Parts: sequence; structure tokens; C-alpha cells
Amino acid sequence: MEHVVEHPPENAILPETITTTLATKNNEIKVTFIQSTNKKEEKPKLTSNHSSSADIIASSQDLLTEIFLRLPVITLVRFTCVSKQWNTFIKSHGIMLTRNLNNPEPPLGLFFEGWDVRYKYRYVPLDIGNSVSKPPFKTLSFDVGAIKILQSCNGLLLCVNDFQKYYVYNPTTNQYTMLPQHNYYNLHSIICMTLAFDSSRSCHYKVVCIYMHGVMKMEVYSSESRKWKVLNESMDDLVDVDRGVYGHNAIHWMSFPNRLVYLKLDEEILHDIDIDTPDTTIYGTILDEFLAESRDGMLLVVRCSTFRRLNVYEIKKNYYDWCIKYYVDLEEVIRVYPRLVTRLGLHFVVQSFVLGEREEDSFIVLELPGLLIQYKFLLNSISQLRDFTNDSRRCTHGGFFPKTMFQLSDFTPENRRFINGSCFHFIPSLAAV
Amino acid sequence: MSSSSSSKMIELRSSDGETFHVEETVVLQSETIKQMIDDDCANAAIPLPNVTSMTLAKVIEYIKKHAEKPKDDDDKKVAEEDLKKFDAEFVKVDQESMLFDLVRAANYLNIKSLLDLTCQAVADSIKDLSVEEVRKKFNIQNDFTPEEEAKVRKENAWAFD
Repeated sequence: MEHVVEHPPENAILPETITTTLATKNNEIKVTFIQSTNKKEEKPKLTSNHSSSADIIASSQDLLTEIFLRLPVITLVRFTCVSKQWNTFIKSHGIMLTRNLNNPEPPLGLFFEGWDVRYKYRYVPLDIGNSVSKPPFKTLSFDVGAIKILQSCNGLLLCVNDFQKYYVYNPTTNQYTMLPQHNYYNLHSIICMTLAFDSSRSCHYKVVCIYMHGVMKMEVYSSESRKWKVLNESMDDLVDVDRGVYGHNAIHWMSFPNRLVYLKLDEEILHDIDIDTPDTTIYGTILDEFLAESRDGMLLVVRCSTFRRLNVYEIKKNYYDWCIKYYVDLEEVIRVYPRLVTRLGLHFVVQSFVLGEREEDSFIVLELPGLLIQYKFLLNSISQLRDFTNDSRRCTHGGFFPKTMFQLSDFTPENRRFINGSCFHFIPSLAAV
Repeated sequence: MSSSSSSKMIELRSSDGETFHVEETVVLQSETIKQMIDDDCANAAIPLPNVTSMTLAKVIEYIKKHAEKPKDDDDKKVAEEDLKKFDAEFVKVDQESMLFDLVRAANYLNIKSLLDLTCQAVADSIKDLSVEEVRKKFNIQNDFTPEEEAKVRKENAWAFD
């Protein structure tokens, strides 16, 4: 006979007990939660007992899990205020409730390092639905010393204080952990750390440390084993090691002149691939390249001298090939903000590139002199995120933070390499650190 | 007894005593009922003490639609689209309580796709609700003291507009 079950039943939630005669009435109720005593009926019971189904759902861990899995993290954070039971449940089940493979949480805002006060962060909400307008923090003070963000990776922040202590911090839950010293620790030899975390892959994170020990050596820390492990790989010194980007379970670095170096974390082996895009005979000189990760895709945003647009390439997950994903036409941005055009070319910095859940919601964040804008390039719509020329009299030349306190003449390709993407995504996450 | 003929009818009885006759192939989408048929417990009407007739009628409407098999690949695409539309309409219920009843029934009857669909609908309906609205919707009593609640709210102040 033919089975018509559409979905494999392994994942289905079984009622707590299934007896063949169904003798146990209400067998789906898990009496883990205290039942509400406040059973006010507002509507006449037309179908069945409304409060009873609602009560059962609100007090069943299985059913709450099913529903919570489908909610954005920010909603869950709010729901910790609903009742003590919900509070405990959400806090203790954190990451279990957010393993949503198909819909990774989008960034809700960007953190910029302050230019006026050291280690003070400015928060800029992004223009997306369900955004967060209040800053989760302005300074990081969870431990001693001035704490600085090094990297944001799918909800977790990698931080360092001025005593060279490294931390993994979750700004949503305000929890942190200090990383132990790696095997060949030497206060003066740390070169850089890169965080690798993706809750859809694992609830554990890894940190890669690259340090000088004769040559550039590498160690990997795993939050699962809580230990550092020395790798047999060494890095050549043409690699831009302080700008590692995590995506499809590998860390990627740009390498001079046109190579992408990547460490696959499952096999712990370094690989590289040439970047032969775009064709410079057509596009002219490459002015600048920005490596970004979004929705687990590795993207390279390339700016060339010939066209007023950005070419966005994606590296295939098998690393065989780069393919063009988008052309981001800048004419609309120039029309709205003509001050973009200077005698030295277009004056802007790419701060972020984010793919939308719906393709048309994909956007790029550009910093123009005194302005931060979000451009949904497929919809041709621009929102101004912040006009910071008015923020301070000292802040008139460009920058929102020290790295873009540049005069126009400072906007050379060499400088841009360091200022592209110098903000950090805020992505709510319930991941434990 | 074992499941042999595709036209075999299974009798289901709702909590309020109404009986429904459904083809066995259709009703097998419920893991709970499948288990009972496998265990040879489906000779008489299957009592479903947690499911009212109104809810059961909806569930049967759902599993009947999901049991339809497309004839070929071309048909398959159309059928998939059609099913998507059906699902979207299916969860647009007049009474909110019906959605909760369906979640409960899908869980009890163990119909994974229906549980996914209805839980998504509940999630969509509560996503933007305030804490107070959620308490009301699920009849949850606020057991925080005002001080405790203020503390939890303060810890997560950024998440509240």
C-alpha cells in the first residue's frame, strides 16, 4: 500500500505517551509549568475550550519550542518578561530555540568605534523591519580595562582589552568568556584572532590565532574542548591576517595582490584561490575590494575605475570559481548625493553588504562624507541612516570614527583597504559563550 | 488486521461524539493513528478525546488535500503551488482559538507538516505583540513582582521600543 506521509516522521514531536487505546486523556500535557490560574473567558466557547488549548500550548515545552523556533531572537528576548516560566525556559534553552537553518538572523544595526572617546561605540540601527533602535551598549564594561571589538560573527563579538585579554561576548545575553592563552603565548607576538561561529552549524565556536613564532603560525581554539590546538599550517606574510571573514565553515583572508587564502575549519588545512575578477581591460584599475559574508555566502565587493558601479562576486562553496552576483549601480546614489563625486573620483567607503531573506531586500551600507546610507540596490531605494556632520563640530570632514577621519586626499586605495567594513554587525543571538 | 486496501475507511470519533469516515491512506499522515492501526487497535471507531468535531473537520480537510498525488512532473509543480495556496488559506481562521486547537490537534495526532504550518502561523501572529498582549493571548498570569519585572526589562531595555 501507499504511504502518504509527506514528511519523514523522525522529527515529529510525539505526544508524551501514546497508548494504543488512548486511555490517558490529555496525554500531551507536560506538567512542567505551573498552570495559569487566571482563566478569564472573553469570548463564548464556539469551537472548543479556548483557554484550554492556549493554556496547554503556553505550558508545553515541546509546543513552545516549536513556536519559539519560528520567532526572531529579539521577540524571544522580550518574551523573557512574560512570566518566570517563560523567562527560565528561554534563557535555559537559548540556542536550541534559534537553530533556524533557512532564516539566519539579519543584522539589526551597526556598531562604530567612537572617534571622540576611546572604546565608546556608536550604534546605528539599520532600516529593516523589526529593527532595534536602542543601543544594546555604548561601552563594553563586562570586565576590567577598556574593551574593544575586533570582530562580529553571527551574533558573537570577539573583543580584546588593553591587557591583551581576549573575550568572546554575546551582547544579547550580556554574557562573556575570557579565552585562555594559546600554547605559544607571548605577550608581544600575538598578531591577530578571528572568531568562527554559526549557530546553524554548531552551538560551539572556534577562534583562530595567528602569531609569530619564527614564521606565522596558527592555533585553533574550540569552545567545545576549551583548548587550543597548534596547526601544522603557516601563513605567508602577504596575507591581510587582521581581516579574517568567516563563512561556509572556513575563515577567509585577502592576500596581496589577488588571492584569497582560506582555512577550512573541519580539515584545518589552508588553501588559496586566485581572484581573477574582474577583467581589468574592461573595468580599468581595481580601486578597492571588500570581502564580506552574508547568509553564509562569501562575497567580494569590487570597485573599478571605469564604471560608476560595484561588482559583487560570490565564491562558489566548492571554491572552484567566482561568479558575478550583482552589479550595484551607483548612479541613483550619485543623483541623490552629488557630493559623492569629487575630482579624485567617487568618495565613499563600503561599510557593509547584506543579503536579504527576500532577494530584493539585499542592501549595501555606504559611508559618504558626513553620511551613512543604506542602499537597497535591487529596489533602487536609499535610506539615510545617519547624518553625522551635525553630531559634532569636529566631525565635518568625513568620519564617524577615527578610521574615516580622512581628508579627501587620504582616500587612496591603500587607505581604503583599512577602512572598508570597519563597523560591526549587531545580530541578536541566544548563543551561550 | 493490516492495512491492505487503499479504499479502506477508518472511523474517527471526536470528543463531542461525532464520527468521521476517512480513507486509511489519508489518515495515515497522523503518526498517532498509524501507530494504532499498526497495533491493530482500529477495528472500531478511534476515539479522539482531545479533538472536537470542528477541529477534526479542519484536520481532515487538511490531510485530504495533502494526500492528493500529482500524476506527472508537470502536474507536480502546479500541485505544489496549489498546496502552498491552500496552506496559506488554511491557517486564516476566524477564531484565534481554532488555531490553538489545530496546533494541539496536530501535536496530539502527530502530523508534522500540520504542526509546522500552525506553529508558524501562531509565531507570525505573536511576533510583534507586547508582553501584555502575549500574556492575554495565552492566559498567562504575570508571576513577577513589579520589581522583578522591572529588573528583567531593564536588563533587556534595548529590545523594547
